[in-house]
Parts: sequence; structure tokens; C-alpha cells
Amino acid sequence: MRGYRGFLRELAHTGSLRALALQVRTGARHWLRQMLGRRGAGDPETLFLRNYAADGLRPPPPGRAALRLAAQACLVCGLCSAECARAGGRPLLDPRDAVLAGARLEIDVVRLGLADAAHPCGACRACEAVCPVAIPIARVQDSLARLSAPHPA
Amino acid sequence: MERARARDGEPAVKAVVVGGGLAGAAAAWALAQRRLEVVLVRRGPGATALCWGTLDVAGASPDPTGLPWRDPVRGEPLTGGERLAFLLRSRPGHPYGVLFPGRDAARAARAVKDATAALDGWLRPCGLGVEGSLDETRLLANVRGAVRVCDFAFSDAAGGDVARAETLVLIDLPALPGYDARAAARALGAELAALGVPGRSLRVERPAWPERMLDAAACGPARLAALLDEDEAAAELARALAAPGGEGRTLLFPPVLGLARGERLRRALGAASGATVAELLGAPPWSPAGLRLDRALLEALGRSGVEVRTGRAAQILRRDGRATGVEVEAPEGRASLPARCVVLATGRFTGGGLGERDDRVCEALLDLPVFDEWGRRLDRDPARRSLRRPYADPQPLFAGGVRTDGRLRPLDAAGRPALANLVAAGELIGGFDPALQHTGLGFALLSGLRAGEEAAHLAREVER
Amino acid sequence: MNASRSVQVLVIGGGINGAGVARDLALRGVRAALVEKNELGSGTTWASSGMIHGGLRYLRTDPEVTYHSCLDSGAIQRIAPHLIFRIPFLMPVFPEDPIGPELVAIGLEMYDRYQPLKRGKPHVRLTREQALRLEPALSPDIDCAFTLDEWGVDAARLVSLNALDAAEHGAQVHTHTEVVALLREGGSGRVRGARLRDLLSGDVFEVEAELTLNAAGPWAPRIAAMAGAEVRLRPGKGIHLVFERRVSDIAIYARGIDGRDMFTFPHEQNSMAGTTDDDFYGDLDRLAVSEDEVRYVLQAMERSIPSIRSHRILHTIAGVRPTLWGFGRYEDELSRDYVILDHGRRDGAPGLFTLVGGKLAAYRLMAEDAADRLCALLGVREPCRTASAPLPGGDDEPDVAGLARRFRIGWPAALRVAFRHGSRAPGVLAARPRPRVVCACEPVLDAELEHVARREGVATLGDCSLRVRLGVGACQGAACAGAAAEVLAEALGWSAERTAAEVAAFAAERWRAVAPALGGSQLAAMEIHRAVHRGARPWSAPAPGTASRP
Repeated sequence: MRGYRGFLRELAHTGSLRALALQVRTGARHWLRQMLGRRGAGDPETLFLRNYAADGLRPPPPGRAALRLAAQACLVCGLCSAECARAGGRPLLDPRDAVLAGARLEIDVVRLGLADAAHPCGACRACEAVCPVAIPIARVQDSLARLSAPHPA
Repeated sequence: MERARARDGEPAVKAVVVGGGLAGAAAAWALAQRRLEVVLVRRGPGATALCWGTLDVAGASPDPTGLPWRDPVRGEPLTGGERLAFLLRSRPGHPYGVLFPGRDAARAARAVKDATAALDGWLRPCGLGVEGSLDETRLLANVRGAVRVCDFAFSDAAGGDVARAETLVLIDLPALPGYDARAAARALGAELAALGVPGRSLRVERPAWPERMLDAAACGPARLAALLDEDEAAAELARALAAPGGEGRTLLFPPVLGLARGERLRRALGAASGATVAELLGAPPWSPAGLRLDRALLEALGRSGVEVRTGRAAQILRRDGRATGVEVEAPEGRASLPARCVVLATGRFTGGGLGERDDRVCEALLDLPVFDEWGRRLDRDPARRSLRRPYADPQPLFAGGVRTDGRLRPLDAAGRPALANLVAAGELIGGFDPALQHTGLGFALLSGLRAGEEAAHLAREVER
Repeated sequence: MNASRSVQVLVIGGGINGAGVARDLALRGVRAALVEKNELGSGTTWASSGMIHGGLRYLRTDPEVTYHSCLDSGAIQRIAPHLIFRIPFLMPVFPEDPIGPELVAIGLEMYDRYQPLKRGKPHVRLTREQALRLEPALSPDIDCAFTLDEWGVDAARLVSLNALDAAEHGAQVHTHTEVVALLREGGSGRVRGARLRDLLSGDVFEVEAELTLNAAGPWAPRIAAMAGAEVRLRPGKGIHLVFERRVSDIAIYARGIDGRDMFTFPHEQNSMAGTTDDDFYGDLDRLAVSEDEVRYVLQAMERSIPSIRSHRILHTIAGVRPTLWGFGRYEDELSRDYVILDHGRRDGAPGLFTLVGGKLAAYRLMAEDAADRLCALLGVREPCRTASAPLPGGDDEPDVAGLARRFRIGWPAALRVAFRHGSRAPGVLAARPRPRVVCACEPVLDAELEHVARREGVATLGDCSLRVRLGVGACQGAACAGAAAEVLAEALGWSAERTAAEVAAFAAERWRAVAPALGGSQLAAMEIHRAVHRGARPWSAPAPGTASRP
């Protein structure tokens, strides 16, 4: 019964007969189901991920939260792009765009199945050496590359 | 590579500089000159790499809280030296007053001259020079057409004084993102009018840029600049520029003239076109000047025998009121660097010297008290408490930093030097707003040199 | 200069309701004009959470409202599929919560019946471990968690698409134009239009209309008062905090210290936290976010997401809801219902109507209702088509990868252009031979800026922060405002002084939005912002704080 706390208060707040009828009906069905021990179909976690897979939702990979916190410090100074060009790198997404736009649009990369969202940059890390706030840019590029669909052969 | 040689028979005195911008580099040089063994620890380039091409000792600013461009009484443009004197007189909180006690403008001017000459000497072999003097004022335009009134500038842009040239030609490069030469020319015209500079002839010209340069430009200014470091590309561009032009022309290029070998490229282009060739100052989101300066500093430090380590200074090690070393966190692991003196040149929020922790503004390494230019403590409160909401107001938060004694040692809450052999340099020292008062890099240079000098004395004082 | 234009309906107020009505009328062939004193959607609409949600809370008071909300949420998805994005929600239940998990389960089971109306998924019940696996940032103190989903939309863009569609069907749209006075007929007091002032050019002109609809949201009382009519509102201020990037891809419920329900939810590429609802008695044109509000929201979020304070807050958004008047109740309990007032019967000002109240998700229904009433009076019999006719760009899905390849722009830029312009993206990008990124944070391309300047009626740099999200990302305009202003200057013929003034005003506006929540890693960004906009500003620009809005 602990799970049903607040029941009386909710009842007091019901605004209309129709609402009351709906609540009583649903509530009774729910209680019965609980009593009879019938569980819903399938593992809820799998169900949840399946429901929203088409929207790009995936189970969070380890380290993603930390990477987001590191990448959020970007000052938009553009030094990484400059240094990448100086070092002769040719990534599909230049490092500033990867940190700013790319990493923020991760969910859309998955949702739309964008191929090669960050063709693995050479990971020479020239960009990281000049970043004033020490963003692990190569790791950001790598995480984007992993998210994207494999390039159609 | 020369390493600092200790005096004969003595073990080398070690010093650690924390902070990789101009202030840290200047301190490191000063220490190396005095025969200490210097290690410079840096997380990154800091605010120095965001420099747009000028080295402001006492630049003029359009903001009312900055230094004026014209003498309010006589109406004539002020020289850098006059602005510096004005600053020393009228801004008691500015830490130039610590470097030049008694507000001795003449002494300050001499120090500036020596410092900029020294910097020029260090950087020229690395492809960058410092030009200017306190006896004149330079008006330099940036890629938006806005004018910067400065005293010193790096050689890439220094030649582009818009008040001196008879004919100003803005070079159009249509493929370059964020650069519109026509808009810049219009804005520059309005600027010159606002500054009261008599009319110049202002034109936009588009040379026949080779196709591959346009492609490179479309990827961003850095790629074109890297391309123009190559001899072949430089020659190609020079050929495209060769055009009969009148004397007295100054060609103003967007900042793409090479990342490492700009001097040589400008000379080649100047010879080909018969005009003075200079770069426009940069503007966000990218300016090559900062990157060039950063690279040149690193190279010059190497030549001076300073060891540069990339990593985060995690802790200042101390004993009995003295700093004994710095603990560094690097990708390779933790290391403890012993030192007889430590220089903190960690900058402010951009550089990481100041930050906010546990809802309190703080100095990152030692939790030193942070003061605004009027001497009020900032570090007891969160940042938002010191903010002024009106945009036009001065912001004490962005003029804040540590306070030092006459030997540049940062003070603790009781007003005493926090550690006997720890000095500070650069923006970490509070009392001025670099955005509005245009004294940032100049102060970084002067305070860095002084900090190194003081640190060297303090290190040796232990020995006796 | 006096120019008189004559229409059948004048709609005052360019928020979602005004734009929605203008579109509805225009699609029915009615000659309409829409006037807005600022930028489209810059009032309450911009400050909303942008969620076209189904009204879960109304299940306990009036399921009809829930039914219609869900139905209409479905309609908005159909007409603007490119502008919406799904937001899965996570509702953690703490042991000390006043409502037990079984009651939450019952409530969500009821809501499940309505989800198919808006292509929503049924709820799922998760144990504590399962919830923490799905979102590790969640507080470990929870009992269990439930999930549901809603849809989010770019509200400002929804407004401009409605207005654009209206304009394409013959309506006049005037932004930066304020109502100076309502035109009245001498004897009957009939309202027959308005005298307007273009705030940018200073021109004064009149628009004559058979009927006038006041859809000015919280400003509705002010407009109605011009005709001596009274509209009684109880304005409720709400704020949001905007984080630099998504804190989580799932929206997470949080409860305020006083029990208010709030959430941290993904919104386009950011996360937003909010919202509050406080009675507002101040100046609608000078909304300021207080430190109290910011700390209140963060305190609430911290309970559900303990690490929330380590996330970088970019700026704040504040707005005022035009809630219908009700005395003696807590703000949360006030009705979100709407009302259409006929001032002819009530206040002796025939010809003037007011449409006020409601919520974002129900805008199309409200607009349809209002348009039905007005058309009945005009004798227009055309049916409403707004639920089926797609909004501009909504008729087909653009191919993001194809756009990126064809125009040689990066995929992030292609993605965002496709989001904002839908099937019209290729036309937008064709404005420039080689489109390039101006604002890296969003990204925004110069072709897009030129397009909105030339073809969507954008008139100031500030408009672009609503229209295409210029300068509302990590740099807050430090890196992009100057370059963007140059693009607009070329398209709109601005002088150098005007361009400099626009940039200065833009920078000041960003400061106003950032300052209330400034702290942490945003400090370094604003250090640079000041160096750019205050330190390196042109000498020909007006001193900050002295320029009136251009």
C-alpha cells in the first residue's frame, strides 16, 4: 500500500466525473494486475531502448558523460582548426566543428545514420596541444566516428 | 641547444614557471638569463594565443574606461608614452604602479623600450618581430575594418598603419569565410571618419588568386596560411600580384600570409607589387597572430635552454613558508619538479589561473585571495555576485586577480607574501581589465621579465 | 509618410497565436495583416519550453483537454515534421515523494491511451538499477522510475513558418512595428484597424481592417485598453536555464523545494532546465532573471541529477505567460485554458476581439477557433486547412547527406539547415555559390542568413538569434556576430555605422541573457566575449548603453 500513498489527495483533486471514472477504472485494473502478479511483457530496459531507437537513443557508452563535460568548455577560439591545418591534417570535420557542432548533434548522427560522421582524423593530436582548455579533441573525433554508420562499401 | 650553465662549481638553481603565455615565457627568459635552470609547465597557450596581432603596452580604446586616443584638451593624438604616463597618473590600481613605483613615466618608458627590444631579439630568429615605439601611435585595421590604436604590434600587421599610407588597398579573397573586403572597406572608412583621420584613398582589389589557393581558403584561413608557407605557393602568389601600382600604396591582406614564414612572404609580395604589404589584424573566431606568437615563443624558449613541459600544475609544494617545487600532472603521469623559486603566470579565466569552485571565485593553485581594481575581495563570493548587470558598466570580476607586494609576490589574506619565493606575472595579477584597457600583453611582458628577475634573487637568497 | 492599407482582419501580436491565426485566415483566402512590435515569437513563445506536450496533468481534472492536446500535437507533427524532435522522459520516484509509484503508474497508464494520437510510446516502469543504467547521471537515491515521451519543437521557428505561410498566401506581415493607436469610428466606437509605427524606419502608417484580433499575449491588456476594453490576466513569469550541450538525451523530472514539477530536457542540441511560474507585476519589456530563480531551478535539478552544477550554463531565457485571471489559487493550478473575447458585447468596442491564454501545444486549435469566429462574421465559408496543409518545408523530408555533398558543407551544417527549412533547404543553400559557416556553434551558414534577410523578413541581427539560432551557443556571438552582421549588411543595405550598432546591440542582449547565471566555465567565454565586443569594437560604434535599439 505504500506505493499508493497520496491516493486520497489525488482523489480530492479530481476535477470532473469523467476524470474520476477514468481514474477509478484504470486504478482498479492496475491493482488487479498487481494482485494477480501479472507483469508486463518483456524487459522494460529493452522495451524502452527499442521504443526510441529510431530517434537515435542508444545505451550510453562508458565515458560519454566525462567526454561531454570536457568538450563543453570550448571557447570557440579556432586554434585547433588552425593547428590542424598547419599540421597538414584533413579530417572530414575540422576539430572545432567536431567539438562544437559534431558532439552536440550526436543523437542526430545516430538517428539519421550519417555515414562517416568523422572519418577518423589522423589522431596526431596537434589540436590538443594548442587547446587553451585542454579538450581531448581526438577522443571527441573518435567517439563521433564510432557513432556513425559504417561507410557504404 | 644551449642549456643554462650554472656558475662554475655550483649546482644549477632550479626554477619552475607555471603558465605558457607571454608572461610565463618572459619570466622563463629572465630566469634563464640569470643562469637558473628553468622548467616551464603549461596546460596550453592561454590568452596569449588569442592575441590579434598587437602588443598593447598602453593602447587606446573606444571604451570610456580605456585610454583616450586624443588629448582631451589639446585634441591631438597622444603618443604611447603619453598614454602610459596618463595611465600611471590616473589609474592607481593598475599594477603598472607596482612595476614602476612613484609612477615614474620616464623609467617606465625606458623599461618598455628595453623589454620590447629584448622580445624582438628573442622572436626574430623564429620568424616574428615586434615593431613600434612609445613615441608614436599606430592605427591598424582588422578584418572587420575596425581600427586598433596601439603602440607596438607584431611584424605581420605592423606595416599596415592606416593613418600613414596614402592609398589603402584591401585585398579581396572571396572564398575566405568570415571576410568581406568590401564590408571591411566601408567600415574602415567610417572608422577613419570617427577617428578624425583625414581622408585616405580606400580601395578594394582582387588579385588573380590561383585556384588551389581559393580552394584552400574555402576550408578556412589556416589552411591557406599553411599553404603559403611553401616557397612555390609564395612565388605563385607574388606573380599574381605583380601589377604596376603607384607609389605609396599599402596592400592589406586578410591574415593568411603564412603561419611560420610570414616575413619572407611579405617581402616577396612587396617586391612583386612595389607596395607595402601588411596583414590585417585578426578577429574571432581565428587569428593567426596568436598561433604564430605561441609557436615562436615555444621555439625561442627552446633556444634559450628552457625546458617546456605540457601538463597541468596540480599543486605547489611548500615547506616553512617557501615553495619547494611544483607537482605536475601530464599524460605520462605525475611528476614533482623541485624548485628554488616559482613563478605563477597562469592568467585569468581563459588561462585557468582564476576559476569558480564550490560556488566561489578562486585562484586555482593556492587559493590566494582575489581582488578587484578597487581592492575589494572577490573570492568570498560566487562570480555572479560581483557582476554588474548593465552591459555598459565596468565589471570588477573581469578586472580582478591577485595582489602583490613590490617584488611581485602575491599576498595572502593577511597582506603578507603567501610564499617567500613565489612571484606572479601577467594577467593573474589583478587591477586592470585587459579587454577594455588594452594593456594586456604589454603588462604580461614587463611583469614577466620583472617576475623572473625577482624570482632569481629570491631563489639565491635561500642559499645564503 | 502615411500609407493606408486595407485588409479584412488585422492581427496584433506575432507570437504563436497571432501567427497561427494569420496563417489560418490566409489559407482561407481572407486578406489579413499581422503586426508585431519586436521579432516574431520574441515574447512568450520564445521563452516557452518548446514542448508540444499532451497535457498529462489535465488527466486528473479534465481529460478532454488532454485528448485535444494530444490530437493537436499529432497535427503539428504532420504539418512541420522537420521542426520536431522526440523527447523521452524519465520520471524518477523518490521514497519521500508525496505520490507513490503505483499512483504514478496508474496515471501513466491513463496517458498511454492518448499517446497514439501523437505517435507517442507507452510508458515503461524501470527499477532503480535499470534507470541508473539508462542514465548514469541520475541520483542513486531514487526508488524506481517511469518513462514516457513528448515532442519538442523549435517554437520561434514554428512562429516564423506560420507567418511565412501566411505571407505566401497573401497576408501582410510587419515586424518591428508597434500599434500606436486603434482606429475607432466616431459614433459606434467600432474598431476599424490601427495606426502603426515602424520602429526601424520611424514611418507611421495606418491599416484599416473590418475586424481586429488582439493576440498580443501578455501585452493583450495594453492593446485592449487602447479601445477602452479590459482584458484581465494573471501574468506568470517563467525562466529556463540553457546548458551548453545535452546533459542527457532523456528529459528528467525534478521537483522544486516547494514541490513544483520541473525538468531538465534536451532541446535541439542543448538541454534546458525549467520552468518556474511566478506572478509577475513588473515591466513586460524589461524582464530580468533574478539570482533566486536561477538557484531555485538548480536546487531542484540537483535532487534528480546530483552532478548538474558541473554542467556549463550558457544563458537564461525568461518570459511571461498570459494566464487567464483567477484569484486565490497557486500559479500551477491556474487554468491553461484560453478565451476569445468579443469586445463589442462587453466593452462597447465592436470589431475588436482578443484571443488570450492557452498553451503552445494547443495553438493550432485556438487559431482555428478564432478564425472560425472571425470568418463567420466576415461571411467566409472556407474550411480550416491548417491541420493538413504542411508548413513551408514540411511537405517532404530533405536528404541531409545529399545536401552536405552537393553544397560541400559539413554534415552538421546540412543537418541544421534541413531542420529549419525542411524540403526548402536546397533553395536556401543555393543563395550562395559556396555556402560557408558563419556561426560554428549551431552551425549557421551565410547562405541561410542571406535567405532569411531577403526572403523571410528578418530586419535586425537580433532577429537572427530567434530565426536561425545565431550566437546562442558556446561563443554567445563573440566569434560570429561581426561576420553575420556583414552578411546581413550586404543583403539589407546597412551602412557601416548601422552594422556596428547592430553588433553592439546584439552583444548587449547576449550579456543580458548570460549574466544572471554566469559562472563556471562560462566565465572564460564571457572574458573573450568582452574582449571582442567591448574591447575591439569599432570607434564608429555607439558607446554601449547609449544606443537605442536600431
